[in-house]
Amino acid sequence: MNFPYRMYIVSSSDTGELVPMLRPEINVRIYGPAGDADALALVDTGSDKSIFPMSFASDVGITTTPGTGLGALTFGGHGMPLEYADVELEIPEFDPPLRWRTRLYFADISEETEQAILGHNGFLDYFTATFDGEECSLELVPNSDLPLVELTPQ
Amino acid sequence: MRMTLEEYKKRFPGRPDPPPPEYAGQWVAWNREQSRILAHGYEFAEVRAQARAAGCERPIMQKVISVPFIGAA
Repeated sequence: MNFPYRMYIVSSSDTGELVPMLRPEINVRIYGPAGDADALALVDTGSDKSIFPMSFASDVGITTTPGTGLGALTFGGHGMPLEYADVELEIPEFDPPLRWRTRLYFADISEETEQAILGHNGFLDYFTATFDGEECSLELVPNSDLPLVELTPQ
Repeated sequence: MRMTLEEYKKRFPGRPDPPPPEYAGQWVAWNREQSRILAHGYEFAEVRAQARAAGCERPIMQKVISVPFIGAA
């Protein structure tokens, strides 16, 4: 399935003027005991883990466990403590929707950079992902490692 | 890929519009068709609740970035 890149209008790093920027983001649904929430998440081959803002966990009632390891290192060398939880994630645009259970990481990210990141663990490991720069779209094909959750007919 | 908003719309008709840059740093809640912003603000839960109160059970949340992103910090 193909997902068009999303456009943002951002401040140019070169000149400061407002310029368009395209990035591979898809809509994902995260399930918790108190409900579910949909959000656009960046598909990021540079991220080893899939990391969501803590605000997502709070809103759908997910209880997270503080990691006792070193957390993660971000670009520029900043350390980031992570908490984790085993959750169900879904891409509702697939027909039928693709839902799987995986470990996600959560971080108290600063307000400006608070966004959901779909990295290798929890996401890219389960797909063949083709980034088409010319068509500005991302093709995702699930592989046999995807730990699918059986959906109950409604 | 570098292209203007006008070129983007002409080349990819029907794709969602970018969120308004004046909402930079905020969350926006789109309707399911991603054609209309139902609420916006800095608190994820608050914005989502406003969109749900406006009649959209499952709004699609988007964080509006204001500068290019090169990794979490």
